[in-house]
Amino acid sequence: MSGLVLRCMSCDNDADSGGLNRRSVLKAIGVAGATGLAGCGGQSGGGGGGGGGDLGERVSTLQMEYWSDYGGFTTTQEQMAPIIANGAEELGVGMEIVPVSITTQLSQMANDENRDNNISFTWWVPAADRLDPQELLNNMRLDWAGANGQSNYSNYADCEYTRLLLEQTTAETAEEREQGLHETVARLSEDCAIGNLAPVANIGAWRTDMVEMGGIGNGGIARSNAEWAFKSATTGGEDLVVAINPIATETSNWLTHSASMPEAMWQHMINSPIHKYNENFELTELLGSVEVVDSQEIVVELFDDATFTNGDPVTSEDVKFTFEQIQRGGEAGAYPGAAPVPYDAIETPDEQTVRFTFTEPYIPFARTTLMRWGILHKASFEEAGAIENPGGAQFETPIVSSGPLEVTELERGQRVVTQPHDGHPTYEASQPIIFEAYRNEETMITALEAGECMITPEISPPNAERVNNEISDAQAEFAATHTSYNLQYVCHTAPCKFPEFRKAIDAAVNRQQMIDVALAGEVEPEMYPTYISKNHPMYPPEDMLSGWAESPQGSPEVARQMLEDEGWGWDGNGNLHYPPDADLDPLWPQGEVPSAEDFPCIEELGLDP
Amino acid sequence: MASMKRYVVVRSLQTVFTLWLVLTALFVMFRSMPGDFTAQMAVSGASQEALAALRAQWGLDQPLYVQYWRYITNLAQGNLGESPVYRVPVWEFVKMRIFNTFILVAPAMTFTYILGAVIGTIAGSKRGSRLEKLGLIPVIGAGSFPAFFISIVLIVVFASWLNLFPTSGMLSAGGSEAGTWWGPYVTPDFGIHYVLPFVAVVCRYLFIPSLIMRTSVVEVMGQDYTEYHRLTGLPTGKRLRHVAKHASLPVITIYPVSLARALGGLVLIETVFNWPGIGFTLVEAVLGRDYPVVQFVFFVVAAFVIISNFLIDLLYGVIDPRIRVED
Repeated sequence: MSGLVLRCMSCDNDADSGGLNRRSVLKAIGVAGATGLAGCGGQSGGGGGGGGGDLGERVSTLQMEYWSDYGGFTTTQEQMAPIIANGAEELGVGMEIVPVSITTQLSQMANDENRDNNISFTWWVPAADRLDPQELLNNMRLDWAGANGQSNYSNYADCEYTRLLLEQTTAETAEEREQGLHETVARLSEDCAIGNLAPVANIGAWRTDMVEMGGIGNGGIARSNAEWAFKSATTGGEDLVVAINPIATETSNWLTHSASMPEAMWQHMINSPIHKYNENFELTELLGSVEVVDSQEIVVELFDDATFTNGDPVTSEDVKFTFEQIQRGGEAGAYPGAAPVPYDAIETPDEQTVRFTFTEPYIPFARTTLMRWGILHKASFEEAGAIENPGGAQFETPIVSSGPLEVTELERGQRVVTQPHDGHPTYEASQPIIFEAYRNEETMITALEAGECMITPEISPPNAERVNNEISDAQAEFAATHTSYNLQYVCHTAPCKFPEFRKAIDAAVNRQQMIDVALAGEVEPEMYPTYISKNHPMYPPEDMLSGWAESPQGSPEVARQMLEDEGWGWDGNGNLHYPPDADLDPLWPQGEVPSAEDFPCIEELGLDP
Repeated sequence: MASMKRYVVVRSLQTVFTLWLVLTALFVMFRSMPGDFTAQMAVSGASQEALAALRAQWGLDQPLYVQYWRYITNLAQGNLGESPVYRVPVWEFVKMRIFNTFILVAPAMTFTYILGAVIGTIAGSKRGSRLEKLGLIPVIGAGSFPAFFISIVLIVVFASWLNLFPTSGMLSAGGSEAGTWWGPYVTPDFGIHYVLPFVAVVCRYLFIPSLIMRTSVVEVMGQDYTEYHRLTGLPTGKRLRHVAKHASLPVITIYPVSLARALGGLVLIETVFNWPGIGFTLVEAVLGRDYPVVQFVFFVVAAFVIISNFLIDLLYGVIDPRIRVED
């Protein structure tokens, strides 16, 4: 923005008359005041506050979007967002906080339709299969950036990062892969491609006079950690009533669910995967043992005593059927979020052995796909017609399943009633469990208070405080999970396309204040921009990571110095300006994808954005 | 008689045309919203190929006019489509939800309008009296509060403090073991869950018929024949019945509109009471871009308003013999 030169409009005349025209002077002062308020500071002196020299264009007010339709998580974000805005303002740039529905935002970012948004304030469901970070890290790969409908919502396009990511995906051994993963995450932190603020907290509550809780551990009271459902017992021997999202009660063919958290109830409580992490993120075999023969072969040996709820043994054919069904994706009514697996074959040499082979190294299989999907009873699916017509499938109750709970009643939109299954090789539920659907968290807490519901998983921090402070005989507990609340910088447009700007924001925000306000101070801040939280079992050693925030309370001075070192400056009103030679053009035109000309690694790595 | 027949035919055609317009508008509006139901699936890393295959499967990759034509022709054959989010036929998905909302809304609104008409008649006939002024204050007050606030107050007082009713839900666990689909709705368990949401709806909407009726009664009572009734010594009760009949037209007119609005607008009451109706489902469907479900439910509501207005128009002639169709 060009500076204004103030000119005394009547000076010539005044000079002739030998004196100043007061009205004209006042008018000029008024103009100067108005332009000063508009922020169009002059270039005189090159701006104050440490800039020095010429200033580039003023950094426009940032727009930060967050998901407005996620209940308790939205509440947490709404409490954190103003504190993030304060951090930006410390740098001399305003921030507008914009609520937007998740569907709208994801669609717009995936198709590069919205270039008004500079930062997406997001969080990731701490689903069990994200205990392998492959899926999350894939979201930052170069060939997923741009207007191609893929989930690189940051439009982060970095060749080095993508190369490291692809290398570890096809690692030959688990150790090699782990090292590769660490290096990939380290690259993210070095480039500050995404800001970590605080871990997502699984917060759950229960009636202490009605339930003896167990199995909470590090996983917390969440559907992604099924352990508490089996390791808790009612004090009076009555049925255990657990609050659940209504989506989970909509259909018995849970493969058709499009949301990951509701499906967790069906996958890990009603059915069981071959193995999974327990509440302390320790690997636990449920239906069989898993042997990683090499990077392209994994063998599962089912336990002799693994049975379905109707007494049928869990066989290799059931396992094969399950993963073939998943692989069919949307055609099978299966959740298309299932990562495509490069199967070569799924063989069943005998009734208890399943051999998975892949066309290329695919070590993530054991800790992602194999852990995520509960094993289906093939005969039931065939009988229900769920293979040809997933949506029209009619499963008769009791529904045959592979987990420690058997569904005896399914009342759509209201509840799922289950009975313990004695034949599970690993778990034994103490009593029947009724998963009661609640559409609203306040209603859920009221029901907890009235004793109509005994356990409420995944509640918001304000309700956790209400439980702890206002409801007698009830307790809420926080568990820091393996995913985080993130600032996803939109990296293909200014100002977030500049690493120093991202690092400065990262350094400036007051994480501790956010945690104190929004999470009752119950978790520790995340100081490294790694996408995953430090509770993640695959979190790299800290000496590999680059941190930009010196203090949990934020360091605005450090942040400003970072910018100043790169030529940014401030005008007399404290507004941040780009360096004078900054290239403000986006990395690619709107509606397009990164080009091989600008990103040579597209051809080198054989990518197809 | 011939005029009446022609009127019915013309209005019927107009109704069909209006319904088609509504259907088209809904289709275009929802398809114009950014994103589709696959957006959320992309969060969990669904590949571009998978999402493209899904969109192709659901015809979302086709031009809008192709999608529209397919939708209209399917609808004409009674095929409402399938929810892409839940993979369930639309009718299967919504029928019991619509019924659950209807069974709450219809009796509650009907009771509200009858009670409101009575209140309005009494208030109007006692215009200027303390009874009128004080009697309407609680009615207007209750209608001024948001629906969710009234609901929460009822729950806190009658469920939490007094422990007279359950806090939420439509049935207790095991309450649907009745053998028939309608069996659970005639059980004491349903009854006791029904009371608080019913009262919430009545409190929230009572002010509409009360105020409309009062105004209408005041107007009617200013007419000569009511004075004549008074002079001839007609008992007060009979006089009021005559007045109410004449004054009821505005209330009858607005009744189906209110009912339709309540059908789609009970989302807050349903959410607070955890009532498994269509309101909350509709919100989830809009946010999830579940086009078939949203379009159908909105269409049902619109059709209800349009058709009931038509029927009310026909009913006018019965209620008020002075109203006739003329060439």
